[in-house]
Amino acid sequence: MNIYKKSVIISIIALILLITTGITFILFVKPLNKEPILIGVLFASTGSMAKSETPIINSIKLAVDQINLNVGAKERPIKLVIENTKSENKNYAYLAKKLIKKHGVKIIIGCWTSVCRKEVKGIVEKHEALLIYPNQYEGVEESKNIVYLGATPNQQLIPAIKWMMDLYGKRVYLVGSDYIYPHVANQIAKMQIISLGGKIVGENYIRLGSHDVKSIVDDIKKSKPDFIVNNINGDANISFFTNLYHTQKLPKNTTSYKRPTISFSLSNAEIAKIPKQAFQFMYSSWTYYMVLKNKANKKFLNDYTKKYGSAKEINDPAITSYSAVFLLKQSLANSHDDSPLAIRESLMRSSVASPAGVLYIDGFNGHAWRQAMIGKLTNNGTYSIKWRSRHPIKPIVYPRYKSKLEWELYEYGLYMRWNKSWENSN
Amino acid sequence: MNIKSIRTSNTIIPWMLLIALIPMLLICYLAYSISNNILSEEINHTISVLAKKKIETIDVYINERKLDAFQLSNLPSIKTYFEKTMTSSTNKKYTKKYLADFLKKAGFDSLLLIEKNGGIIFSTPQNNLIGQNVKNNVIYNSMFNNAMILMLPYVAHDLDLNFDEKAKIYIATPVFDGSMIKGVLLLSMSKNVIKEVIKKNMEFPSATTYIAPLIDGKIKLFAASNEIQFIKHEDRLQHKILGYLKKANQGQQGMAVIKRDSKSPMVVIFRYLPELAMGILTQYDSAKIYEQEYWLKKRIVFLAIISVLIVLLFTLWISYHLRSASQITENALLNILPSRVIDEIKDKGYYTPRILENVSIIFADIVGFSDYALRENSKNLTSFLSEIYMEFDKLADKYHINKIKTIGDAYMGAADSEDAKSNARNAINFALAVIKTVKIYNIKHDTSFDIRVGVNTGKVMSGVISGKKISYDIWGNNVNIAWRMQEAAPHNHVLITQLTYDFIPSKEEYSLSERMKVTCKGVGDVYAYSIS
Repeated sequence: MNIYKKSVIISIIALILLITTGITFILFVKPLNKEPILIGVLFASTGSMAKSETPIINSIKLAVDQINLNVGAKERPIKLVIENTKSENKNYAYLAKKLIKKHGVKIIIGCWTSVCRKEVKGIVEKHEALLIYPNQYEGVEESKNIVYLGATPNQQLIPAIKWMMDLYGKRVYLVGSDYIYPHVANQIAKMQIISLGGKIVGENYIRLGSHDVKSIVDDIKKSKPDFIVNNINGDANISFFTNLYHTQKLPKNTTSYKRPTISFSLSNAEIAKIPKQAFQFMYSSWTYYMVLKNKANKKFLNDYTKKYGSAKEINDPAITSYSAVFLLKQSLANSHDDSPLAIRESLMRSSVASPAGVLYIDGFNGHAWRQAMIGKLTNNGTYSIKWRSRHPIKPIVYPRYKSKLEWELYEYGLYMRWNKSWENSN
Repeated sequence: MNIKSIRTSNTIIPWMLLIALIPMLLICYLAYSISNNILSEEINHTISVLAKKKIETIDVYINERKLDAFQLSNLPSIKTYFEKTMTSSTNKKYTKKYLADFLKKAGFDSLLLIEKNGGIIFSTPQNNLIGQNVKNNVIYNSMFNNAMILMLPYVAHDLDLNFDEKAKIYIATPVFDGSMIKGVLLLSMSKNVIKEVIKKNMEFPSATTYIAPLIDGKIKLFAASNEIQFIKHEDRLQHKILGYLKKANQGQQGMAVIKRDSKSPMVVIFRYLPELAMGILTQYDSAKIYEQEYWLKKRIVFLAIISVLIVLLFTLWISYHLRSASQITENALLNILPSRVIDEIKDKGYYTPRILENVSIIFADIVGFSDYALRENSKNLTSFLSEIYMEFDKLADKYHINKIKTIGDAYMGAADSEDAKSNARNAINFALAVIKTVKIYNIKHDTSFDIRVGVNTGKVMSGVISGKKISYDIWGNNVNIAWRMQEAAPHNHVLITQLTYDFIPSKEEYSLSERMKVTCKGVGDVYAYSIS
């Protein structure tokens, strides 16, 4: 009978409709993604930078452990992929590429030196990944694929030099390792010193990894500066300070040198190896010191000591990297997808209570607001804070002594002079 | 058609639809819970974006002021102030006028020019600090030093601020000439300006925004978009808000729900405001925020109910149609089969042939119909038959007679209930009614039809012959006798056999004739009574 056929067909159509709507609804629901988020770690655990960079790796591991311990129902755990750069320049780009290509990492926390950052910058920009750079640096760089958490010159170098000039005088000697960061930093320092009516009595550089400091020390003694601006990186600091402040017994006719030095890249690991006699002349400027009294710092040092036995080697980049993991977690929860650019977007204008105080990421240039501090070494090898800015300071990437273009040309000039390298290897 | 297929197609379709309702309901539930999740996520996201935007607004506002200050510091006229080489009084006047305009436009209250050594060389009239040294003033000294050390436009708020309106924001900018630093330009604006900025950017009218720095471990209110009145019993609320403000000051950010009472929870968003180095907290009345969500939720529930209703109505419609379709079949069947038989077929799928006891069989035959059929045209004939038979059918229903079939002008029925007495009585009553019907018809249509009715009671065989045409029938000798009775009956009389007569419960009811003997073909003599 016709009516039966009709109703059967209608009900079949109705069923099909219902099933298709059901399927579309089910397709709408994204299955809960519990796959871990990969974060690449690019630091040296061997080589000349190992002493400075090992605490960073440890701090990152600590942060990840703390986060993974209380992963919420909808949150994804974090998994680290760690690559050892072995402190060798040739490894940076290769390992960054390996992290992105082989391990599928989209976010990398890494690099101490600017050479490393410059090498990795090209890679992350090419592969649309994100680099979190935790160390202080020379500024004069912006990238949509990098979030700079370390201090810019106006948060470290500029206030420190003004403070030192007010205290010790206007004749300044500049030293540094022979690569991009010390050159640009000293350039900024030079311009500031001149604008404040000071005088540069000398400028000298030492090759990365070299310990030959004798000629520099002799030159310093000859030119008698009021204070020294030290941008030497890594192990060379040990021989520099040992030689400069005559920790060995002096021959009778030599005069000892007794003017202070302010260092901008000197880590606790290296201080441990410098003889105590030099401490009274040593100032440094960081945006974090272990002696800071705040809740987050207390907790961090406690947790770190509990896990690794001792927190003596903790430095600024280590706590910055530690906080970076928490910042990342926060932004991952806030951003709708986990593409590097979306994460960077959500990192902008976000803040976290870090052991160094508020760590806020500027919404305009992707650099962190940091509190400038100047510390003096005491006899037991810890710092006492002599000056600190009242609040975190807005990051200025291109110091106002030159325009953005002039700074970029200056950097490019160095790069070309060094045979297309960010390090002077001649 | 197959008898069984009637039954299956009849019931399966509504069931199918009802089964379809289950996934439908499931889908509705899923849609509701999913949208619920997505919505609250969406709303959380929107609120945090709003909070981010609020910071951005203040950030941008202060940055614009900073830029103004920076541009001002680069003006040659400012530099000439520092060099004190400006001698022309007209030039001086012009500069003062320009500065007054600038301050008004940019929202600044006052301006100071401070030399490298800390001496104030220019000040707006209301301050009148010319000649003094900033080192005597804690606030100015701090701004001056920060600008000198950091060498960039530096923003700070009043050091000892409290609820009063005098609280200020300062922007200190170093003035350079070439590469040489000449001094500091210090601008100030009142906190009301910031308050206005926040007020302008309120997304929800019921929201309140607080900006408060942490000074010596204590929260001090700097600005609030709405005037705040903490009522006594809400002290706990105040305590919680201050707690979150403290967190914001330390750099933490987030969203929290404060339950004032069970009905109206409050959503607070707290963040760090970098330019002013203090925490910002916005407190939303959740009812307003979630209004949209509630509306959407309601709509989804409404849609779900509507779709369920549609499916239900569809089911009802289908089953109604099916029922009416099956009603037609059943009616058609009822004409052919007795309801008892149909019930059995519906139940079992077939009808078992059986012998029925004490069935009263009726035959009614219209006399002279064949002659009439030849005379009249076919239209009249059928209308006559259908009218008469329709009446007969009605009567059959009334007297519980099963119509077996019609054979030409003869109408065959049977009273086949289990009660023999009522069978006999029903059959006789029916027969008498049939005669009456014909008589009434004759009067109505001015015709002269006669009818003979025969009734017999006894044992018959019943069964359903299912072939192309389904039919129910009874057979047996007693059927033949009934037919003979009809043949032998006088016009407009009922002839009943002795067997029927025996079952009549109250014989005085009827005008019965004397017992007579009727010879039946193939049976022999049968005693009979006629009723008129």
